[in-house]
Amino acid sequence: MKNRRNRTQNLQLPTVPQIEFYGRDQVVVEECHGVTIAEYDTETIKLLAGSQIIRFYGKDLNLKNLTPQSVRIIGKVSSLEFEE
Amino acid sequence: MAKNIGEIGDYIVGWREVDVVGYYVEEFLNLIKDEHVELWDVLKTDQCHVSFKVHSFATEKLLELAESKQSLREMEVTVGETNGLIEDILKYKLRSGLFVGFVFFAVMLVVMTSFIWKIEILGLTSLTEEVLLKSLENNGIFIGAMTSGHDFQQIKYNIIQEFDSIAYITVNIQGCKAVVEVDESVIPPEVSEKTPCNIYAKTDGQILLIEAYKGAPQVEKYEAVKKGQLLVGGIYNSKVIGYRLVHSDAKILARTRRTYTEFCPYETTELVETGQKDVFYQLKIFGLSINLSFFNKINYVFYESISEETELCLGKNTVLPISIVKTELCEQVERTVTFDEESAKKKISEAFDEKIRIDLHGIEIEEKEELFTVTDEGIYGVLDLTVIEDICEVREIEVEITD
Repeated sequence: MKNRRNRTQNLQLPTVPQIEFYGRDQVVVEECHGVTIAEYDTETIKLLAGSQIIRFYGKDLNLKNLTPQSVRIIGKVSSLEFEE
Repeated sequence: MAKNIGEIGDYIVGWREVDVVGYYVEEFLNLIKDEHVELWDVLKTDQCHVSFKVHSFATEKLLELAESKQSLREMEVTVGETNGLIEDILKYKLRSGLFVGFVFFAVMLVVMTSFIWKIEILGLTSLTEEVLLKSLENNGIFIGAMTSGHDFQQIKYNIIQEFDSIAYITVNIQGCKAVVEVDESVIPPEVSEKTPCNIYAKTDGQILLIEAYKGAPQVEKYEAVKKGQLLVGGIYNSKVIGYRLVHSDAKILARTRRTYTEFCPYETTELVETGQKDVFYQLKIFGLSINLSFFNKINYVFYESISEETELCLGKNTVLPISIVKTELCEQVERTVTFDEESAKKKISEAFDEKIRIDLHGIEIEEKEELFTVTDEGIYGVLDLTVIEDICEVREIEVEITD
């Protein structure tokens, strides 16, 4: 029994932001608890997720939806950068 | 215009546009997000100016949040007017004409869908529509009858009882249209299998195959027979019980001949389309036609008319008694067509092919010969065909009973 419980615990997904790209026109960042917007303009959107910084570069970037759980970015995304 | 369910939901709930001007707009957005206030269409127009949309009910909380932090107090938060369904209704509430019109439309809609305005019959070939419509009328289904309150099981039973040729019938009310679907029964042959009968030749020919299942064959293979000649007799001499009458049954294939003739003059007139079209529209309400093309006149001497009726439907199945009839008149002109010998022969051959397609469907053609005769007026064509076909014709044996 003890072994089985340990195995189940190992299968849980870590609560880190999950990033989904829909082509290059739309990005959805989910599991955003604790994620904050550090910088926002039409060419850069910088999100802080714990010790990580996620930076989206592109053109005409907008925050289409902003909820505690998710951030939806639309526009022409050209690159994504991670910083520690 | 709402594009998806989410936007329709936002429209029903109501939303407001918020403009924020200040140095800490990102901080403000994070604060709102963390307080579970949903915001969308976030646009940052310049470094200090951001606009977004929130639900109407969340604006108070938003203003409280702006006041809650010292750093945010310097920001200017402007909340726009509420937009949404309730606001749109309130906006138009004073327009009594619109309201009356809406109520009138709703009442008319209820009235219109309460009566049958059209009866559509599908799958009927053995009877005329008038006969079935008369029967439906006797059962309460007619134009002008209510759409509800019918016992469809009883109607179905009555009609099946009334007509032998109808095996099954369904009556469905779709809005104000009654759709009657008919399944016809297979009518048994006129000569019952219990009736004694002979088989005769229905045309001249040479017998190629005889398969007599019942009755006494009267001809042999490769024998030439004339039209009306007895092929299989229904009077059968059984060695056990003597003479008896039977219903003859056989498959008899014979080689027969068919001849077709056609004439193609060197010069003829025919109607051809010019490509010019006039379109007329008619509005049909409750079966009454109203011409919508008041100023259009038919300017063509010869034309072909193509009509298309589009019924107004609510959803998929609710048909309203309103339809638009679009009629296209395609102009035609008389044109003199001349044929030379080759093209006339080709036209005759095409006419023969069409005749073969219609008359000899499923019949094996053994030999085909086309002969053309050239005259001053045109070309005569003769098509001689040798075909293999079943030549059986069943006729009842008349039995005279004498005392």
